[in-house]
Amino acid sequence: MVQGLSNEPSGRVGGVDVETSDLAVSLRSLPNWAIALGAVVALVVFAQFSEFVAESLVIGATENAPLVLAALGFALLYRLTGLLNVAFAETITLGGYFAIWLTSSFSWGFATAVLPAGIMAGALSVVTYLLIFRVARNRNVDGLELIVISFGLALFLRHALQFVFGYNTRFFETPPPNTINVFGVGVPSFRLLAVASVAVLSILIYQFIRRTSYGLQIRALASNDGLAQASGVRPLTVTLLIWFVAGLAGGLAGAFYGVGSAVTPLLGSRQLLLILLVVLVGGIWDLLGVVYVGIATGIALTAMTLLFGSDLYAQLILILFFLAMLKVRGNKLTDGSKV
Amino acid sequence: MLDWLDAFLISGFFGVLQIIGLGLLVHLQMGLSRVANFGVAGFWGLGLYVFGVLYIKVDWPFGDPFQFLICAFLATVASGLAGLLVAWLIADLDVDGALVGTLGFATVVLILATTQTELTGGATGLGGMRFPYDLGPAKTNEFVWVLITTVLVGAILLYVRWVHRSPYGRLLIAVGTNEPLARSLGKSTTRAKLTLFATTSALMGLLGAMQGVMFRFLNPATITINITLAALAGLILGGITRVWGAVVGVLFTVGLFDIVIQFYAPLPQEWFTQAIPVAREAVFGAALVLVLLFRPKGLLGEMKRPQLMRRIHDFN
Amino acid sequence: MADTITEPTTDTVLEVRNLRSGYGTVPVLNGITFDVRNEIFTILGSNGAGKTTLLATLARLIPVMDGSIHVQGQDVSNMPAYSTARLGVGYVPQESAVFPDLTIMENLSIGAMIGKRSTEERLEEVFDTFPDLRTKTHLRAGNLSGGESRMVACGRALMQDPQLLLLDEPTAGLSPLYVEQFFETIELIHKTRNVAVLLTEQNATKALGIADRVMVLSLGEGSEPLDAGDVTTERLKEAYKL
Repeated sequence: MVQGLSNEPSGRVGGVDVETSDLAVSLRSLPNWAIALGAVVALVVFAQFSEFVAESLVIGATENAPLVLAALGFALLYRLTGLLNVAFAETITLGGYFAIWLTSSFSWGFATAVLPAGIMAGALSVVTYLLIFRVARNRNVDGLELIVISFGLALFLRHALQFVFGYNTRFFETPPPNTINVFGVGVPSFRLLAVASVAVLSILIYQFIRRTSYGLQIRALASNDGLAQASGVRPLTVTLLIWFVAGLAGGLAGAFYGVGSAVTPLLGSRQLLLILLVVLVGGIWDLLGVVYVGIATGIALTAMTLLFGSDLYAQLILILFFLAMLKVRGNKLTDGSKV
Repeated sequence: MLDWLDAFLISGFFGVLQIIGLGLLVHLQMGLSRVANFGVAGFWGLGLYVFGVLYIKVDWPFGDPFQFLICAFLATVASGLAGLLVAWLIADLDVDGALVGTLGFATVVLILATTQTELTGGATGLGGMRFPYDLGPAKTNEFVWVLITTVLVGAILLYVRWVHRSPYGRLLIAVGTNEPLARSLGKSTTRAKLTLFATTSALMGLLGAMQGVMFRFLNPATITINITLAALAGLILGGITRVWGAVVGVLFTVGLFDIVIQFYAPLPQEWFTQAIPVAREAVFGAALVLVLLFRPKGLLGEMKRPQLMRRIHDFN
Repeated sequence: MADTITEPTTDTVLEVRNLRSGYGTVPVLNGITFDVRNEIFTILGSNGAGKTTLLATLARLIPVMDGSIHVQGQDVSNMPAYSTARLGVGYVPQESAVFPDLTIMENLSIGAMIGKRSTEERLEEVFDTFPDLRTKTHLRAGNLSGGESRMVACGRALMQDPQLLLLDEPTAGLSPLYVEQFFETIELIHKTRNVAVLLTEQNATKALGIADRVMVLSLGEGSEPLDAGDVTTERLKEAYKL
């Protein structure tokens, strides 16, 4: 109501419209599986013939698994609360630091530390909502100012954390990982763990949003928040949940980014633009679209890095490509509003 | 003659001037027209790099000051064109799209500065720029350069004041307040945005060229988002809708850290290598959050032309 | 202004006193007072009279500036919308009345979060009331025709097992065929479910057909409620301040 989105009062005649929707729904619900399965089979077959394709696919999908996770978390927040939270990058960074802290303080293995680190990042995400974004919302700050606030928070966290965790780059003191052979390409075990987490978490989040009562409330709030509240949905519980899950995804991504290379204060902010682009372009569809575009981006990034011998060129081309997409398609979401 | 002047103090002043200049220009973009620009470092950095690369790598048939003038001119044009391009890219996107577009542009500039090693020296950087005059001691040259930059920033301030009073400025305010309304009144808001970005970005490029002369060195580490956020923090603290907002705010932020604390605070020397610079950024970030939450119009408060604003708001 | 308000009796579902509300600092409603019992209570008014503002305020989506709202004897003037909904207020706005991205089934399920009765039982009742919805539960509500989406919106509110149904111009924009049918359905809902209905309407003739009482809202001020049976053109004109 207050924030009501115009839900296109459709004056179309029932009968005809229903038939097409019927068809569209049945077409849409089935092939998701079919297309994904078909694509995987085609790629696997293709990978047998070309080392380049195999490397791009395997390295791309494993090394950039954290990107998918991060984009998913970011998109969750963006689509369901309408907030483009730049400080999400620092949730990622802190996920990496939390994991380092847990492994070094309690001599936990990385695999043990990763989930608690994600939970800590989720809690941090909730705290930033309560202390800053909720206050901003209650004071009717939005649009440009809200983004600047999130930039300010990002800048603050990125530097304040250095007083806690130190200025220097930190590395995980874990034994060198086993490598596992996938289609002839050696992959460190923690990368496979990352891929598995991404897969599991994506499915869990998707199922949570699609199938559970909380998920339904989340979508209702995103779709029409006044109406949702007038129907009895309590926004605070649901909003906290979104912030927690988003932070969890970001924190896990940070831990996986960190173990893949190192943990620095710029860990998350270096990935921010790529995440933003994946979310804005992939988000034209839905959360699954973000996952698909994230995976495709990871593979394209690796393929181009292999081709040009420089990951910066690969990023450059991706950025230009995504910006062109934005120009052509616009960035208006089909749905989603403030929660 | 300039014994009282510490070499670092000169560069502190110069930095404050630069950020004030950028803040004034961001004021026109985000304060008046409410078009998001998180790529200030890109326009400024493009000017800096175009100037530096042209100055060092091209074998000019004439010496300074013409070499400086032509290179600075081309840097200004390059940034202006980039501004035009970015404005075209984001003209019909909302604030989220504008964020990604401008941030993307700044990242492209940063990547190019880092990867085009043959031209820019890449991550190690490139030196060889000179002052377009030689008045003797380095300190004198730098001092004179600070004076010249002061004149430039003063001119930008006058320009911003002029914009506030001109029909063009009213159009910008209309774009910022209610773009669909401005458009329905027959104003081309897209053209207004293109003009705005072309001119302000060009001036950002010119400031970049000034920076190149002063520091005589190109380094990708100087053209990061921190420049953008420093300008934004100063502007917002001072008052994003006010002509003098950037001046006041930057004195309180960058001025506080780079002049007052740097030279007059009795702090242990080792703090200045890491603790102070890191704290500086953390404080800028906190300032952005706190000001926008609790005093969104900044120290100077609401725009000084209430009648005009009221008239525009009444349309809503 | 109504001076002689009957004291609220036990069957008063809604009690509104001197209600002022609006957007920002500008009031749209300038002190409205009325009660709704277990009846169909219709608020008549032309465009811009404040009907939508009134219903959105009662649903607690617009802050109360002054005055009070009691639902079932409880003061809801400062309650958030979701708590008011839990007290038995079902709200069907005129626009954006469904969740466009959710299916019909999901739209209805949102309503079932209130109360203890099983969802299946409630669904069955809603499908009895709106048989057209039964076979279309998997469709996106955003793709429905105007009439269908009105049914979904109404169904969602009924799923809340409300004591008071707020319907904002329930038949606006519907084809005449639907209008009659819809009013019949509203009457049926009121009778079989024992729900008080507060609806707004522009067209007096249509509204008088089912209303027990009417109140005319004009420029943010309400007339004294009239028994629908007593309403004459003269009295209506007077209420409209014509």
